[in-house]
Amino acid sequence: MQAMPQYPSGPLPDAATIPVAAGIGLRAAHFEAVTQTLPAVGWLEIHPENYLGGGAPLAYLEAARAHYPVSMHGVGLSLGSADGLDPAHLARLVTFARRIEPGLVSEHLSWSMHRGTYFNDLLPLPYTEESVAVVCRNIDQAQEAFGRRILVENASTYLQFKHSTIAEPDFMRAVAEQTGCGILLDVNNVYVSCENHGWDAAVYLETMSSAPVAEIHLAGHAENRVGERIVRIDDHGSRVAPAVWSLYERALALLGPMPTLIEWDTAMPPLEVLLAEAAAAQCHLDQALRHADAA
Amino acid sequence: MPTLLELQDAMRAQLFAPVPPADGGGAVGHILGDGIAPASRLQVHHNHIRITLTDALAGIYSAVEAMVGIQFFRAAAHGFIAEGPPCDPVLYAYGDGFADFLAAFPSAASLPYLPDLARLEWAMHRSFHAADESALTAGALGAVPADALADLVLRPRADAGLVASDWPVDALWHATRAPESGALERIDLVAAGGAAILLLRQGYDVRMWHVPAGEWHWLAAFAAGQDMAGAAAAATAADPAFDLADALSTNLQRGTFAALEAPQELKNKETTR
Repeated sequence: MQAMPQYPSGPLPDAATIPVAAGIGLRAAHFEAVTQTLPAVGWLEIHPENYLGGGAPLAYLEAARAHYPVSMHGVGLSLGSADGLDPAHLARLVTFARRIEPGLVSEHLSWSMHRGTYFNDLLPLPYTEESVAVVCRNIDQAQEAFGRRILVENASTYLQFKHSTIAEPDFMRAVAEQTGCGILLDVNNVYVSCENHGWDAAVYLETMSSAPVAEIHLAGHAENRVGERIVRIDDHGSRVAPAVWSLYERALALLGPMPTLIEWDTAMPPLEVLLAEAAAAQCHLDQALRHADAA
Repeated sequence: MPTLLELQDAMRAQLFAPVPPADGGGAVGHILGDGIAPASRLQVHHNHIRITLTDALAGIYSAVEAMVGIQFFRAAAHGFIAEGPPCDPVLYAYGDGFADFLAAFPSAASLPYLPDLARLEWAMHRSFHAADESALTAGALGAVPADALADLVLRPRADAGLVASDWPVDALWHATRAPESGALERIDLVAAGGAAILLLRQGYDVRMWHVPAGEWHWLAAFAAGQDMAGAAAAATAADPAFDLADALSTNLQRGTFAALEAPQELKNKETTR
């Protein structure tokens, strides 16, 4: 048995900002390793839904929070729900945000809740004017409740709807323009969706260069064979693919250096592997920072 | 062209159906093929939902999974998911009722101890996620006048869990932790008898105690909101040799109780029998 952590009193460290540095996701498999070894990463990202039950997970988070800025990345708010946000869940998230004082709050451009059923998946939206209106209404409500700007992340998609009329990056930009939200650009998801649908990743990044991108996600993905074709699946269960590192480099060149997260959620590796990925991202960031200084 | 609400209704119907989506109607009719059957595209999500929810259940019910093997566990989990998908994005609350599902699951009929093993694991999961509560001390109890005690309730901590079974589910649980040790094969299910178990979270870990029947009923009575007199009566009814002084000092030492309170109506405390 371990002793419970002692929480320092007074303000939390760097409560207001996530630094322009590489961070890692804090996941249950690494609770002990992270809180005991306090690895040298710039920040941690957490899924609030994993801590709303309280108990030991929340105690681990608070032990980590005493040493790191934390970004709060929701997976269950369901910004794309036509029947609106779950007000009880939103209220819990707002209370939780007051407690951990996250540097950033983000969610996904997708839906995961419908008429009281939770799907535990990030489901795709048809990209239509109606969807823009639904997503904007939900983002407005969330930003109002949090009393701050949130970031919205592009999800990996495996299907498109026949009645979509807007390209995904244009949809993201429109939503950001109408609500004032920022964009969390998941470069792995850009790669996965572009490969799955034959979209042009260069055009996608080009569109994002005129959008308010404030954070980048990187992760590994899997390749599944469906019939004759390969469908790339965003499983967050391996190292970042070489092609995604290249795309990341191009994104940094276009968008400038920004906080970058390594996500790993399935087939959890030892913490060292995750830290090595974060160190690789930090190398790219350092290079981008030098370029930015020289310019 | 469907409205977003109509599309989401159609996807919900197909994603939680027990069979994978088929080509033709419903949400599949709105999906672009582009080299892959639209139904196969939707099936990516159908699979993902079942796999990740099965993983979530396996995280809670790891001893059940170890007892029955992954294939059996998957079949049971898929049945449970189809019967009642989650209704809350906070997934730690999902999986309640899996024990009852197993009790009615025809393929598990030959494993009568399985539902109680699941009840033990659900109680452990609840304890792990329960809020921190500091323990009532012997000093605080000693400060209460003796004549006032009989009408008061020793309320167990939020992380306290009580499970009783006619099967040795605690021994089974421990044996699944070390599958190579042969401990599981050595358990004589009939000769070992039942188990009365108390759970408490200590630090980050949930601990388990095998307690005497009288003490278990005494604690269960408190968990149900009964006062000292009622709890002692329940304990003695279960075990005439119940030793109140011993049970009290043992549990004060363990830190089982959070507070001494006036009795209330039955509380929603997790007590599983």
